[in-house]
Amino acid sequence: MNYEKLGLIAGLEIHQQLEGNKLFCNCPTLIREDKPNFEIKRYLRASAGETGEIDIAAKHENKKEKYFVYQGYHDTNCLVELDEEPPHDINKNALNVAIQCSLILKANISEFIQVMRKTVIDGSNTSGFQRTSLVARDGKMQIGNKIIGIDTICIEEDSCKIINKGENSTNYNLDRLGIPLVEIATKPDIRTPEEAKISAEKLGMILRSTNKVKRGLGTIRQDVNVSIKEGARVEIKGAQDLKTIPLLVENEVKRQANLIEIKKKVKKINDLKISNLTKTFENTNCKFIKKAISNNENIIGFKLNNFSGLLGIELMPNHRLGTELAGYAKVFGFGGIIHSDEKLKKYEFTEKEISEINKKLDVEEKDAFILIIGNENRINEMVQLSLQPRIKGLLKGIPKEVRKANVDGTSTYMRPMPGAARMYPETDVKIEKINIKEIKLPELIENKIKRFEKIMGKDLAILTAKSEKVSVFEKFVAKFKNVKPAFIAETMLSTPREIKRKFNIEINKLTDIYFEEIFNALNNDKITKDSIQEILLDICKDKFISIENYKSMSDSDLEKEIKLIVNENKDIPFNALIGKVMSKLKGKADGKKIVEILKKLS
Amino acid sequence: MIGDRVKVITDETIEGTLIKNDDLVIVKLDSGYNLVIKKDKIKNIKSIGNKKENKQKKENIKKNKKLPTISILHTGGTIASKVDYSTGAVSSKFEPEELISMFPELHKIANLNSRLIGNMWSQDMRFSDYNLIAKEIEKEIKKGVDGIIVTQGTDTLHYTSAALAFILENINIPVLVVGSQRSSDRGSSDAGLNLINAAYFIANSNFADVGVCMHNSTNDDFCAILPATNIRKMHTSRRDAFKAINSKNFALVDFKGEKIKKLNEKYNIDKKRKLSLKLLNEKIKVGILRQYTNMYAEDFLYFKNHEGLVIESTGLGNLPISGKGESNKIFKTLEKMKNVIVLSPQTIFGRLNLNVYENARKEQEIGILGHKNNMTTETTFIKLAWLLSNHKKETKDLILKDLRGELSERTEFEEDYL
Repeated sequence: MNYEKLGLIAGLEIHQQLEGNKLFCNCPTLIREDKPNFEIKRYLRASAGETGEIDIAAKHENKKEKYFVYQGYHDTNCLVELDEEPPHDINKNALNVAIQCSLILKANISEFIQVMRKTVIDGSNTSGFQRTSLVARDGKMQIGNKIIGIDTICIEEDSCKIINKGENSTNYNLDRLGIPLVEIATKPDIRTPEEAKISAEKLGMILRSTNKVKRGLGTIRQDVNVSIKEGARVEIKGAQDLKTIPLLVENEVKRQANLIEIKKKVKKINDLKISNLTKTFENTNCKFIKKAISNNENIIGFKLNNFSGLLGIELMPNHRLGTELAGYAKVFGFGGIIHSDEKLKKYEFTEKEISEINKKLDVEEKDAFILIIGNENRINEMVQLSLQPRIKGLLKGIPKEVRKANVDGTSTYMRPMPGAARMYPETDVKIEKINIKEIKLPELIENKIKRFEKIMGKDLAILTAKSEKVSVFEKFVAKFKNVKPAFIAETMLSTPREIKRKFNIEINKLTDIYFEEIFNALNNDKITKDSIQEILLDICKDKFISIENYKSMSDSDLEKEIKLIVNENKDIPFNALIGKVMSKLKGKADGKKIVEILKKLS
Repeated sequence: MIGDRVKVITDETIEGTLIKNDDLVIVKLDSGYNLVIKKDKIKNIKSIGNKKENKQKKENIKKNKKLPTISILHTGGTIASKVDYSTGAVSSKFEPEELISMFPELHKIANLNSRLIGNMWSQDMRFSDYNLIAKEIEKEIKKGVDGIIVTQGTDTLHYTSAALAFILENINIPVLVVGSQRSSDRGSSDAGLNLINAAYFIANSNFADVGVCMHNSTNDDFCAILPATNIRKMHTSRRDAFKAINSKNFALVDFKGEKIKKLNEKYNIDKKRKLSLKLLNEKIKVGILRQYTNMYAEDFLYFKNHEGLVIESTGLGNLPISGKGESNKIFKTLEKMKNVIVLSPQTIFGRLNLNVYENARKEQEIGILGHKNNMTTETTFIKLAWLLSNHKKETKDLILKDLRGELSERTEFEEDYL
């Protein structure tokens, strides 16, 4: 695709979770999978703006009149997350990480921090808003020969984790709520899908360089903003994987370009008039319709004039206009839609049923129809509020909206683009002065790699620089001068993996305290390198008692011991003798030394 | 200038809406964030556009003759707020039309009158405020309304409810005091549910007394109708901060489920009796002294010129008067004090008994009251002030007699009293 010709403009927004405590309370930032201890039930009310008009996005949510159930844990959630206690002071450690990132990105750091409430009423925040504050503006970073502008750097609360969404309620878990997030938004300076990926990688590297970020799936979320000429700004939320970013951008360009084509084909769109077609399906073979009818649900249909073939147009790979419209039904809790450009036989519709639908809806060759299953009143409401405006909107082109990133690189409609200014001050938190002088700049991972490459192999240097243990590693290197840095890195990072693979044993017991003890002993020649694997293995097996048990022998003891073995095995060849001695004294002395003594004795 | 669109020039040029212009200048950026800048860093602020005037659409609400009429009297505690996202400013709303546009459910429950009668911070309230509220309630009753909701900040809401219970003698319509623990400018506020459930209870029960309506739990379902004189704010921040003490809630209400569960029907239902206003004497001084260890006689002496004193005493009502030295001094001091002294339980739950220990019998001998008192300290305080205002001579006889359901002869067993 010629992105320049299409006028692709894209920007990124990265949300990175931080380690430590939550942003406004002292709860740990622990994501849990075990059974929650309690549940609470809440409603949220959309509060009207001064104009008397509720924000369009807010109204959209409120129309669905839902309640929210929050699940939590006594030991890792508190009243702050339950919106039953005012927020505590902002977490300084988290704020400092955001300031560090701002310094690296050469952004203009605010002198004061004012926490704002950003209205969110989908229930993902118990309070009805997300606490967020602007830390810095107007930064920049270099990718290749290009400068990508950084619009803002913010520190904010993460939202609740969604468990499931029903027709009338949504279940959330409180574990994620309040985890500090550093949010970095680029300016719309990105022009190709590849640039988007490289920019995201660079920002990820910067964030990880602070060594305070969470790692693993779901700890970083990337949103991309995409628009093309004659298109509109669309925000695609929640790309968890860097690799999908270029594809998401590419697919969104395709979607917008195809919608622009469709706009040219559609001249007029009729008001949607819904009919109840349940009777048509009284004796149907279609299993899900049969089930729906037995649950007292209705089959509702409507006609689209002169729409034949349009619903089948592919907007993105495996995502047709029909799929796109289904997204607008799904946000209201419906399963989706069935439309006339689908192979209806796959649903086991009979010819008779199809011709009856056409007859009842007055559908001719040039027309199309859509069927929806559910409660008639709710379908009517959904069609009026969601589907009809969207279908009529095909005449206007592309709506500004928020979409959810799918794993396959496509996206699904989530909600209209919220109005820009839904923020007001968080009056429960004081305005805080930022003291930049207290902040130390972290060394970037890419610079660390270069530095480490001078003292170890390239692969090990990369592994070490990217590891969470890098700061402990550097501490050990400084402290234990007699042990080679490469050996420290290998012991901390590679050896445990080897042990795990070789012995199929969990290695989470290998904490820094043990490593410190081992390197200390090694540094003072109390143990030998050869004993380390055995020590680590014993720790994993819970068999480790004291480092004393792995002490290397003194030279005279060693000589005595070897003499004994030599005397007992006078007739065997020298190589076999070495094997025998080695197996007996392994870990107690350096291998080289053993061979030396053996040579001397024989 | 505040609210204007401005260009602020520091080392850079910032455009936005001017929110504050003091030592700290606050500009709301188009992204919605506030930027806080020290005044001395600013070279120039230039207004580039006037404040947008918001047009208010006022809806006309027709009265429904089938529904009761409820008057909502606001004392300054904000039950309804709107946020102006262009400036981030929060404004309180008191007009009936505004309340209904924010809580449309009310429209199906009752016809509403609504007005602001004062601007009282809960913690600053005085006897004069209780009198003012009572007089405004009387005015509404004379207009023929079917029920009244008083909104107030929650800190001292239980003092207000107790004061109204005493002042509004022979109350003949429902009066519910309602507050909220989460500010009404947020989606999660408890204000709406408390208000709507209060209105629903007024419209759908025979209750004709004074009560309080607040969340019953952390959940947004049932609100509790609490007895005006037997409650306390038991939590600094939770929605269900108010709990019945030595008593039971009158009812639980859930308007969404159209449910009213009656739990304790010891309230007035007589709508024909005649209300008389028995106001507090605004000049009367009554104090509360919390007993603690290592007290000094002068701690008590401070209250010597107060007409009444409530001592929140330890245990069953044992003052520090049994030993020698300072204890003896305290005893002599109390013996000489001329004011009415009433003990209340520091334990919050349970009843005092001044017969059990020798020292408490000595207290009775020198005229200290409080034997068998199971009122809260706050209600004892309000009741003492009210008696001194209206029944000065009989104060000592009446303080431990039940007048408004505040005292009970029996303490019923509950598996969990907390």
